[in-house]
This record gives sequence, structure tokens and C-alpha cells, in this order.
Amino acid sequence: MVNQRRTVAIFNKEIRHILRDPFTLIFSLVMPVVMVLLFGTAIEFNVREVPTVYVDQDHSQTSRTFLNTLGSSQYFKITPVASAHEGIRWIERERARAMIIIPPQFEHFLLGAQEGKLQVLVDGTDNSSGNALVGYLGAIQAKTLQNLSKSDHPASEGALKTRFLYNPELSSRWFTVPALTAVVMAILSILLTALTISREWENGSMELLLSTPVRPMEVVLGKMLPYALLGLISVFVVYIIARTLYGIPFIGQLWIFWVATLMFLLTYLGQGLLISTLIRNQQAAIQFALMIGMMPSMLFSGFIFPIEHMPTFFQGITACFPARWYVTIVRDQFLKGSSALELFLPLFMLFVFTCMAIRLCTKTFKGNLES
Amino acid sequence: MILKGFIRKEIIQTLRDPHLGMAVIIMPVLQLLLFGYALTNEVKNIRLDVYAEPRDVLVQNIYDHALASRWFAPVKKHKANPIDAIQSGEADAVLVAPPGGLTRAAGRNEEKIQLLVNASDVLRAQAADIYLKSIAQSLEPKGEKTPHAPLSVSVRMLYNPSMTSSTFTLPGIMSMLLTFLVMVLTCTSIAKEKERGTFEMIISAPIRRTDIILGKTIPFALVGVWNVFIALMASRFFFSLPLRGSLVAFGFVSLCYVYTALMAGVLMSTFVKNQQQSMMCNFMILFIAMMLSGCFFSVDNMPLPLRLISYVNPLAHYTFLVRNILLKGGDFMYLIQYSSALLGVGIVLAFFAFRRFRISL
Repeated sequence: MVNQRRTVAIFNKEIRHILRDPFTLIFSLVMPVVMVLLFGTAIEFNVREVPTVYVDQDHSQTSRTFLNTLGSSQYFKITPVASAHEGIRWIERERARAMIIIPPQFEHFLLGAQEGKLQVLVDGTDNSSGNALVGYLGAIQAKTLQNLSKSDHPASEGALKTRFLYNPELSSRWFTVPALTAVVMAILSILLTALTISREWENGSMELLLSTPVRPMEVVLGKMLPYALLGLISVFVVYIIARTLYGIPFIGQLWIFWVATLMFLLTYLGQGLLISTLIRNQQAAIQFALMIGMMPSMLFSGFIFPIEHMPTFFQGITACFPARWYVTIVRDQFLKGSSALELFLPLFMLFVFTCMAIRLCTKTFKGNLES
Repeated sequence: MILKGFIRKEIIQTLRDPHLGMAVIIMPVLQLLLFGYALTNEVKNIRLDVYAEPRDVLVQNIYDHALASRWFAPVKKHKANPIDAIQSGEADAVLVAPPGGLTRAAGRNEEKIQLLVNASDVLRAQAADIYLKSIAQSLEPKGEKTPHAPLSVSVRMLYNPSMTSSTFTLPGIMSMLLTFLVMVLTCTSIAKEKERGTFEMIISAPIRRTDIILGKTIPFALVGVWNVFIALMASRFFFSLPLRGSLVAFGFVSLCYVYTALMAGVLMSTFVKNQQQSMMCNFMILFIAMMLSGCFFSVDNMPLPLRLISYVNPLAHYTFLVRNILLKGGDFMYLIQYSSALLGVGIVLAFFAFRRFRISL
């Protein structure tokens, strides 16, 4: 069904296209590096030094102990303000994320065996860091009480001791960078292929290609493989950066990683080609590529937003995006190192997507030829 | 008169193609809905398992309390040992009691419950740790009598009391989609003329440079404004996103942003030769701008050099402004400060766009 010579001819033609256009080449080699460097440093999930203002209406030993505990923790960076009114204005101008109000007679109540009440106002517009803040406050609350009681007992840190498996320091980089390969690949392959066929239509070279005896399968393979090669090179670059610069461990088996990468690349290249065959206008193809390819591969893959947090219906939808399965595999292989058997479902799904993408491509391409 | 004709040509060209028309008019709303519903950073369904003797009251208590909250769910299959449970992906977190039961071990003050967390997902690991610790703390038997009465903290979440995720993500999604349309369309439409060679025809026609730029940008400005309007309506209707500030301020800020994004598109188009290059350039810029804009990740947590970039990033300005106006009611000083920054970037971009445009002619 596939004539090797004709496929190679298309392959060569496409390679020349790439080499002749240094822009594409540089882009596909530089972009992954920029993205990894940027992502690796920019995304930090551990909330630190949250700008916080406080109003101390008590001015007592106790309130100072509390504020000291708060300020010496790495989570809060505290600044005094004159009144609650002013504090709100700080929050409105995004200069503070939280305000702590210590009411008058705070110490009096606390020592007098009544409840010492603190009021905390948290900026809820960013709810992820808002939640974390509340968690940290709980810890500080307990610590203050300890500092206050000045007991000789060693500080009890609660009955729970946590061990973080696979990522002991909870490094955000270990979490984002491996999954980033998926996003880089998805974007790169869609960008590269989305225009190859619509460009041929617009330039009129498609008619020429059609008049030759090449078969759809040969065109599809010939157009896919050069870009797959380019993609593999950039995954390799990302892998090297992740291992050396960021020191992320790779615990799994390399062959699983590369097989999954190849399947994923082919799927996305196929998707790009599909957009390209279906939509002959390059401008529209670009919009579709951005919206169908890029956004879901970033947002529905579990790369940033954990899939388990989505409503059940949408969890089902994410199963339709190959990026989700690939991210699962990559993250697992880097940090956890499961066997191929344990990863059977994601690997199988990727395989199905790959076959589907290539099949759909050749089919629509054939339909295109006949029309 | 000439300008009018030029604009008409552009609009017809955009809407004539059914795919492009769809991409411009319907897709943004669809995406807004999709992402608005799906993307949440509310933690839930952390699968928790427990390894303790049934009579170990404290561990069982922590476990029961955890399951009662909406964050945790029980595992489907109990594995023989705790590490296996996590390795196989059956559980995200496991409570392991010290041998002999915690109540006794705690009395000897030597053992602790161990919490094993799968930290390959940092967000969930953090959440599991924080929540379980606070549950454990509240259940801990009070050993000696504490000299103080409890210290209570009453927390009030301002602006978003129910902590709805969409309230945070929607303004980000709105500004991102707007950029997709306005900047990318402008840039590619000029690139398209270049690729096809019709750009020379336009240049040789007796039209001023300003008219060319206006003619190329006004149609997409209209597309942008239309989408801002639709996006605002959709978020109010489907997600009941509040609009606490004034509509006028929102409109003004959006116009400023549309203008800046258009100018960015024009400037970028002077660097590219064809549509593919335009797409790649756009993509690159968009991606970096998005990352450093606080659309999804809070800028506060970034290291200083990257935070500095966000101070000149128009997408960041717009996202901040939209969030401030919609959720906080728009503090006047803040609006002035950030919209002038936004406009400033726009003017600088426009200056270079006009200059480069002349050279590329």
C-alpha cells in the first residue's frame, strides 16, 4: 500500500522545505528551550511571603508574640497599617493579599480564659493561594499558643508526620517540567503541520501534487516523518535540560518514555494535518490549531489543573485528548517509574489515538483528492 | 471614504470564509464555557487509605473526618501494604499508624502516625498534607491543661466568599481569548497579503500609511469588542461572575487593551514574511505573555526578574485590571495606574509599528 520510494520523495521535499526556511528550524529548536526555562522558573505553587497587612488594636505582649510568630514564618510578609479601612484599600489596590485584625483587649480575653478572637480577611480573588493561606494560618495559630505558654515541653508538631513520596521537597519544577514535554510537543507539532497542506492549497501546488501518482498514505507519512524527527530532537533537548539543569530524576524506563513520545508526536502531527486538510484557509487553520490543539493540550492534560479536580463530566472529556494520557505517562516515568503493565491503559489509549489520527488523515485526504 | 472601503474589504474577507467566521464568532464563547466549567483548583477526590488496627481510635477518627470532608474519597481496593497502594496509583495518600496503636504510642510520646503522600502531583500533595494535619490537630487529645483559652481565628474570604474557581479563572480566560483573536488575526491578515503578494498592490494604491494600518486594524478591533461583550455576558449569565465596578471602566480598559494588542499585531507583522512565520511568532509571544500574566498562576510567587517582565506585559495589565474591576469594584487609583501603563505600552508599540511599517514599505 505504501511505496517506499514515493514516500521518501515526499519526505525529502518536506525536509528541504524545513531546511530552506531557517525560521521554522530555529523556532522548533529554540522554542522548547525557552519554554522549559521559563516554566521551570516561573511556576511556583508553594506560596511564600504573602504580603499581609495587620491592624494591632491591642498592643500587648500577646499580640506582639503572635505577630512575631507570623512574621518569622516564611509564609507571610507583614506590614502594619493604621486602620482596617486602610488595610482594605491596600487589598483593593492589590498591594496586600490578606489583613489580620487583632481586636482591642485580645490579650485580656485570651488570658482571662475566654476566647481570644482574631479576624483575618483574605483576598479571595485568587482562590488557590487563598486556600493555602488559611492552611498556614492554622499552623501559626498552634505555634503562637506554644510560644505563649512557654512550656518546657518540646514543641509537639501534631500527631502527623508526612512523607512526600517521589518528590520529597514538593518541588514545583519536578511537577511541571516533565509534563511540559507534552505541551511543547503538542504545540510544536500542530504549529508545524497545521499549515503544510493548506499552504499547498493556497499556493496552488496541491494540484501539482495531486496530478502525481502518490497515494494519500504516502503523502501523510512523508509529511509527518520529518516533523516527527524534529519533534524527537526537541524532546531530547527538553529531557537533557530537565535532567542536568533542574536535576529532576528519571526513575522509569527510557524505552517507555520514547515509545510514548513517538506515539504522541504522531498523533498530534496527524491532528495538525487533519486541520490542514479540512480547512483550506490558512488563517482559519491557525485559529483552529490554536484553539483545538494548544489550549486543550495545556489546560485539559492535567499539566496545570489536576484532572481529578474537574467535574466528572469533564474528566470524561479529557480522556479524548491524547495529551492527558501522555502527561500521565511522562510524569510517572520521571518521578514514579511504574512498569509498562501498570501504564497499560495510557499506553493503549495513545496507541489508539495514533492509529486513529493516521487513519483519519489518509481518509480525509483521499476524500479531498476525489473532490 | 477610501478608509471605509478598505474596512469593508477586510470585514468581508474575514466573514466570507465559514471556518474563519466560526473561529471568530462562536469558538471564543464555546471555549469560555468549556474552560470556565472544567478548570478548577478546588481540591477534591484525594483517595485516602488507612493502615491501622480497627480499634486504633485516633487514626480511624482522622480517617472518618477526612472522608466526611469533600476533599477525600475512599480507595476502591485496599492493597496489602501502604507503599504498594501508592505505587499502583490506587491511593494518593495513606495514613499508617505506628505499631501497637497510636493512643498508646502517643502516651509514650515516641511514635507518630505517618502520612505517605504521592507527591508527583505537587498541588494535591500539598492539599492532602495541609488538610490532614489540620484535622489531626483538631482531634489530638489534649495532654496537659493548656494555660490559655483557645485562640480562634475567624477567616473571611473577601470578594469570593464561596471560593468559586471560575471567579478566578474566567477573567484570565477572557483576556487570553481576546488576545488570540485580536493580535493573531491582525498579524496573520497582514502576513497573508504579504505572502500572496497583494500587499504591494495596497502599497502602490494611493492610500496613506495611517489608512492602511487603520483599515487593517479597525475590523479586528470590532471583532475584539464584540467578543469582550459576549464574554462578559456569558460569564455573567452562566457563571454569575460579579461586575462590581463600573461598566464604563470595564469598557474603557478593554478598549485600551484591544488597541495595544492590535498594535502588537501590526508590529509583529512587520517582522514576518508569511502566515506560518506569523503563526509561530504570535504563538511564542502569546505564550510568554500568558505565562507571565497571572492568568492562571499568581504573579506574586514568581522570582523577581520575571515579575519585572509582568510590569510591562499588557496582557498582565489587562488581566489585573479586569479582575480588579469585576471582583473588587475597581479602585480608582489602581485603574489610573494600570490603564496608563497599558496605554503607555500601546503607544510605544504603535510608535515602532508605524516606523517599521514605513521601512518595510
